[in-house]
Amino acid sequence: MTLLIILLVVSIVLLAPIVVRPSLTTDRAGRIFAFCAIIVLPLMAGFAGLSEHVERTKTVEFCTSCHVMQKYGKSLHIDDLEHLAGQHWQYNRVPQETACFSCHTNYTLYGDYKAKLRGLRHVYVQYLGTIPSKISLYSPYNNRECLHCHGSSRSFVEAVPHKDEMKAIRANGRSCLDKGCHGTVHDVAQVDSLSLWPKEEK
Amino acid sequence: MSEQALEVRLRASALLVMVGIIVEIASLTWRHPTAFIVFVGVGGLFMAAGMTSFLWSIVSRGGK
Repeated sequence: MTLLIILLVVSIVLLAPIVVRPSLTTDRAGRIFAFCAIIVLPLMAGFAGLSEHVERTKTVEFCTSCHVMQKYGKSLHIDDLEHLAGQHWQYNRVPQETACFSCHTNYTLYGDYKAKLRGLRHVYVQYLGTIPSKISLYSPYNNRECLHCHGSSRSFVEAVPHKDEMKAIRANGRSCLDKGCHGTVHDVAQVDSLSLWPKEEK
Repeated sequence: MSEQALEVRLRASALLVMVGIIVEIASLTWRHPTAFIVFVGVGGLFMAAGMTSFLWSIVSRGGK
């Protein structure tokens, strides 16, 4: 972030002579300077800024900045180990700052940008469209997102309930989030009445 | 293109890019989807306009 700010400030400083004295571009050196100041540096700054913004879109703070997502953010604080999102967030099983993105993106090669394009559609709906009364996933949650971290862990492999269903779980035939398994995730319907951790988060 | 017209265009190009960069700096001060939209939709447009104007002025100059 510091390097980005320095790059942006240097870009502005180098543009100033062209604004004040555009005649400096009459000679070759001046034209090269103008090309670097107007094209090269701003392009570098633009790409660096874009990268910073894309990284920010992965944060919980960003996701929950829209009112419609605030209960989902609150569900990270539910003080109950049965609640999957809260358990993962509170015990740092996913990075706390980017918890939403850790689970709600695809781990495929183009997953990051696909998720971001979908996010742009969400911005459109938030401000210009009608927010649906019930928010649900575009497609059933893929076990791949769980197995990406848990797939080779001993606790997953040796868990007794998993042994008979291992093939189906790995093939996404039996969802990790099925009722009776790990079916309680965000529970936004109940979040206002549940105990939270840390206690001051209300 | 006369030298004076060229200088006006160069000044305008640099100013447009400068405004775009200032908008980009401003968009970094808050974390919200609108910050990204402002960065791309406003800052990016200003910068693109400035760069396009500069490149056009180079081409119009006829290699002098």
